[in-house]
Amino acid sequence: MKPRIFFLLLVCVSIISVELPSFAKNRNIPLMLSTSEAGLSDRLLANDSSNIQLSKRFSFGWGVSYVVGDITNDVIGLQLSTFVSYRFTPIFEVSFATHFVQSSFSDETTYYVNTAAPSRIIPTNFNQQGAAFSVSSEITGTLIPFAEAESDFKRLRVGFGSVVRIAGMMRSSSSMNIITRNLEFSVIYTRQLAFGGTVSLEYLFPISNILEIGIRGQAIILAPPTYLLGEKVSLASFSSLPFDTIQSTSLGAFLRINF
Amino acid sequence: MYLKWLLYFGVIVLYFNIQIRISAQEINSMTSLAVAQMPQQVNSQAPQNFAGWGLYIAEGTTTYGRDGGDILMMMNYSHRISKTVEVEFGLQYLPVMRLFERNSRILRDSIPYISLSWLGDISFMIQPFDGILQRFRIGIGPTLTTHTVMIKVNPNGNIAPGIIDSNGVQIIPNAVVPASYANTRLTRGIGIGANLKIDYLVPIAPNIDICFRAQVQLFRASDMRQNAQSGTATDGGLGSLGAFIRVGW
Repeated sequence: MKPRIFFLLLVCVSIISVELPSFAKNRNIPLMLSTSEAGLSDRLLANDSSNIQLSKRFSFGWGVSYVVGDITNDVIGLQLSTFVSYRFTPIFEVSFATHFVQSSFSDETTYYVNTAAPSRIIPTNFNQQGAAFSVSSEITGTLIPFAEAESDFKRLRVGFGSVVRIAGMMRSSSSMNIITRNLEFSVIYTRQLAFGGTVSLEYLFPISNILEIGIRGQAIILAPPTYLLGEKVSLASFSSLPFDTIQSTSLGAFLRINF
Repeated sequence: MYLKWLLYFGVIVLYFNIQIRISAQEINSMTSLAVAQMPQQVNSQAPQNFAGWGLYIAEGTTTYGRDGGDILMMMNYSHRISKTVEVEFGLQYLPVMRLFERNSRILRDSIPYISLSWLGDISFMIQPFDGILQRFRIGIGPTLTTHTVMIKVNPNGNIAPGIIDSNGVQIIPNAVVPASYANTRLTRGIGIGANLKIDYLVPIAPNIDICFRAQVQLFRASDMRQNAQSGTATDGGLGSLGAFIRVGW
């Protein structure tokens, strides 16, 4: 009996031995891998794909905007921006952004003053010069309320955040007092650190797999400065904007890279 | 008889066992190689584009003083054009504000000063070394800078043409009436020059580096004179030392 059993066993082993390589090749499966190795392979593939998905959560970019505010003395200026963001969920992401605004002006106005009779006209000038800048950093929570929608509204985004702004200004004026014939000078110098809030609305246009172009409108509201060096004046002292209301509004475009 | 067949089958089994082992090893090695190469292939897709943000301590012409330096903010984008060369587009901002105190026996005054500079540059960053020095890079390229400088000065008015009447006739010729004066001088200009950079890359993640960099910007300036109160731009340079984080994709 033993030789028969042994024979049958050998036949089975031989059949398996013959069929196994072709079976493995036909199925294209590494059957000889151990379970742990196959698991490692699966894990690598899974990690690889999940890494790609995870990496798509990060975005960064640069932008240029038209801005009107206290730094630009209520006229239109340019603002440069850069940002980094992380998307926590399909409808929510957090962004860190920095905005740079700068302006300067130099005005010289000639005017003539009539003095007492006999009629005399004194030519004189009124000079104004100024330079100002701000660097605003913000952390913004952005909501994508229609992210799940099929319509184009899914690219609409609303952001709310807090801002810290470092700003500085130097401004001078000079004129002559016609009555006293004295020269009157004024120089204002101030550096300020202020905190506030921001609200933004943006819309993204996809360009490629990783590139998007966004249109963004933003308003920044600041509280009175918490740190001040120099004169205690508002940066908007020459403008119509009050001290503690909207400091700047901007509208522009940005390039966004997702990775 | 049985022993003979048993011997034949034993030889056949031994043969197929050997073949199975060889096939299995081939499959195993191929699969292992594929598995081993999988992350390498992902890693071998080295980033070709980089973006960076950082801070420098800068000292130079526009900082108007030799002290601890001023903060220069930078951001850049670079693209790898070969294994050892990247072309980098950088934008740097240097706002400086100072309040100088002037104390003398006859005058005690403070002189405010503000300087706002943008520096845009293109640099070709080259990795000239191999081995342990591979992460050192040297860069060179052109620089374009704009600057706005404003400082308080002593009023220096021009002599007025005198006091004139309504017909334009001088009543008191050469009267010393300042007709154009200002107590500050505002200078706006642009400069064109070159930059030299040396940096060292420290990888902290597969696609993220920290770059420590020293750089020098030299430029010839030309001012954009607006009126009599405008100042004259000066040639100069800027040296800075700092670090930035850069992300590749």
